[in-house]
Amino acid sequence: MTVVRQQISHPNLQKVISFRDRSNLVFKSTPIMRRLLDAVLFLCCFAGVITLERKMSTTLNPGCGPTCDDTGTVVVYTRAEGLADVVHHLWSTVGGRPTFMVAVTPNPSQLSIDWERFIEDHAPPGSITFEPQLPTTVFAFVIDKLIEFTDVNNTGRMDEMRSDVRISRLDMLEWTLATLDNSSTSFEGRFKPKGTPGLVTIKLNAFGEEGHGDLLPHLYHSSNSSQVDIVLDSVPNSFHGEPHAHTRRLALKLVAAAAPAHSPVRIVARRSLDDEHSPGVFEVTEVLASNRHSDFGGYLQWKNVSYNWAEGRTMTNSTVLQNYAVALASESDVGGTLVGALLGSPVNGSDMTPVTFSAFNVSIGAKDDNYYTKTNYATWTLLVGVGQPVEEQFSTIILAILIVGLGLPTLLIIFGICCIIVRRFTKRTNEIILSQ
Amino acid sequence: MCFLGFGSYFCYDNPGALQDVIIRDLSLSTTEFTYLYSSYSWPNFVLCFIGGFLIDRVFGIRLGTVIYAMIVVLGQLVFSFGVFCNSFWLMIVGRVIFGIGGESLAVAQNYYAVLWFKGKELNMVFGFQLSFARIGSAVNFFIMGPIYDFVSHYYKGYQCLGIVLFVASSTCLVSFICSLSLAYLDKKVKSNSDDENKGEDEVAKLSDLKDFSAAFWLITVICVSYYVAIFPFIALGKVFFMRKFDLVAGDANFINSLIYVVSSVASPLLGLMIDKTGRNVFWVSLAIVITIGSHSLLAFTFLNPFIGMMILGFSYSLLASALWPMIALVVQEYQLGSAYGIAQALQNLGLAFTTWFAGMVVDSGGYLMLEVFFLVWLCVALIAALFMWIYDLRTSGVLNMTVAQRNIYERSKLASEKLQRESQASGSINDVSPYDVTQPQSDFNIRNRYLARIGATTVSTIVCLLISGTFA
Repeated sequence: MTVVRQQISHPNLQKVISFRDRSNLVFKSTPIMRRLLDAVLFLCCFAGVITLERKMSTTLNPGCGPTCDDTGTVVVYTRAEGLADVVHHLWSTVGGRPTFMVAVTPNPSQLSIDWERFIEDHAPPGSITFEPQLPTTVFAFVIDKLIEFTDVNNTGRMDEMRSDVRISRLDMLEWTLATLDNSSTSFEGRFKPKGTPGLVTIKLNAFGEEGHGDLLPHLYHSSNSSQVDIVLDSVPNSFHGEPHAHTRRLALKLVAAAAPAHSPVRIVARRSLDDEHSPGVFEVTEVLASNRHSDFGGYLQWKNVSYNWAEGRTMTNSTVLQNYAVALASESDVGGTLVGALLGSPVNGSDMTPVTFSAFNVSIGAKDDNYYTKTNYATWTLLVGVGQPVEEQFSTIILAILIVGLGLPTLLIIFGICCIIVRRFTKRTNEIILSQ
Repeated sequence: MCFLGFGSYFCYDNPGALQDVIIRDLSLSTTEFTYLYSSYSWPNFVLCFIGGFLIDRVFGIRLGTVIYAMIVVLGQLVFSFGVFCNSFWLMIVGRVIFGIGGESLAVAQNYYAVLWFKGKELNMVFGFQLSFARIGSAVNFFIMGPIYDFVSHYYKGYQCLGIVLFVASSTCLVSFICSLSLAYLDKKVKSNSDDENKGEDEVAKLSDLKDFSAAFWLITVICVSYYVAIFPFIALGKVFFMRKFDLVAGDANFINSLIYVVSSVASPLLGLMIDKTGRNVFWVSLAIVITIGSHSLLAFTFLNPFIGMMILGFSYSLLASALWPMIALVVQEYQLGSAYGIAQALQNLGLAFTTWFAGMVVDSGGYLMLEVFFLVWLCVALIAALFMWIYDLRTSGVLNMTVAQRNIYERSKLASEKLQRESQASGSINDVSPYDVTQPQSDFNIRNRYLARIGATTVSTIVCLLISGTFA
């Protein structure tokens, strides 16, 4: 826990990271200018250029001061300020479970945490609020459980009937804040008791603009999302010494909370043509908390790949992720976490109701990939955001190559046809002249 | 005789048929995987020039064939052993040795065909040989997966893979036994007659390069740029189909082999059609456009790849049937051997480079980028074809003539040449025209497996042209 204390006392933590807010231009100009700019921006957008940027600032335990000292409490808060609204990213391992939350409020609105209650009563409902205006949308998820199961028949699927399934809560891990700087944050979870091998690393990035992440699978994020990169390295084998220990695979149970939402999340798998940024991966999975075309609600989005080689992420050293049916969950499933603190009832007469909790599993691995035991390493990279997931366009370079590649022959064909017509025409006139 | 080439064709595409397990069991990147193919092509850049020469001047056909068949067996064994020991460099060495033998064996096979069947059923024999080549490739795609599954019950990982490849080398052994029996039969036949075919073969010479017309070089550009969008694609196709279209390994292999299956059926028919219609430049351009279409279907849609590959197989056969005979139209007949040698040497060079590069593209830019890469090559091929069309329009126009027009053109050309020759030759008996020294064999001993794959009627067309040319 020394790491955390050092981080807290560090003066640079309140640092504000600013970007030029380009969107100002658009809204202050005249209608004609605005339309022109819109057109330009649309073209830029088409070419994959960043169009909307937010002003980002990251703080550890905002407004806590000495109350948090020596408690080990870690709440990382990133404020992404746009013109009309603010996206708040909150990450924490309070309650022993990694929790990731995104909330949108009108601008200006401030996060307010009642630290004394938050620490003493283990994040009770109502200890986190936003003032003066409440969030219009909140989407959050908790990594609730780590599941080990044997896959004796080598199917890649977790099957309650045939697999030996062992579930452990993630609070059996000792969580620490490993890094916190301008660009990224990471948590590390070590297995108890101290000295047990195995490490779960969660790397986090909040984004204020559209673009691709640094790490494979280079997910395409919007300015309303953050990326969660989970690495499960050498997770201790609880089947050790048992006959099917080598067929062990891992899965995670997630609990998602969305407000306002009337129904549980839907898991949608779709295929994408474009694997330029994540070679060999064509499948995209989305967990949607809202209907399409709605600005409310949120989403999780990931490419269906898990890299299983610690030395580097390559297509060759990868396997796939499998998802399972969604079940309804309840408020008690998120008790003691950030989600409970913000969304637990009573919600202080907010318009955030109704809140819907859902739970689902994601397992790592597929048939014939030699199980988790092959490398004892697995990754899962996902985006958590509000609104709708953005769809990736073909990159500029591919479009440019195609236009040039197909354009040149087309020009040649046109040129060739002209040549033939001219030749025929001159021939005919010659013939006419000759016949005369 | 048909089994002579079976082993090498079968084993050539072994890595393609087992791509997913090779990559998994040996932990290779796609780039490293493609070395297995490009290392096959490297030695053949040189061997296209000297393979025929070695048979003619050094070994003789019987010994040469036996030696090449032995090299093929050796190469495959070294490759299998390299896999068995999980030693990557040994695998590469094995593939290089295999390439040295395989390509020259194809030349030897053609040589035998010409020796034995000259003036008889040569076209049919070539047809049989080519069908066998393609059946070898297709059978490989069909059965290697099941063999692997079977062996994997007893062995695991790269050892299993090594054993499977050892099993595959038995086909090479069959080829080797064939080469021995062919040598025996040939000797028996030859002892009855003293007809020795030595010393009359034209060998590709670099000095011929300066004599070739622009049309020939444009054809070569098409040869290189078109085929690099086909063979590397087949090499990498299995995993592409598995990942993008969610096919199981067996289905992916089936789809991948479609190109061979389709072309074994379509090539003779399309060859016949082109024999009847002429207009080669038009057909070549059309074939490239269709290929662009089918690659686009595979790249930019999720349409069942069966459709894309059927179209690709069809256009591939069309191009092969129309392209290769054109070489015979644009170069002097006594240079045909050199011309084919050069075209194929450059094609091997192109394949060696692009297969290797294609692996890197997949590793860093994904399969979409790979398809775009192939599309670029096809666009280059199309541009070359269009330039050739324009060039042809502005010169004799022989490439895009119908067969009837072409016959008239040839006859008038021959007549004028004959006239010229008669006026030049003043009674000297030693004054021999190039046509008289050239024998049809010279053109076959240069030809390697890539030509052997292109289509039965294509080769028969060349043979017809040659024979008619020689005896005209």
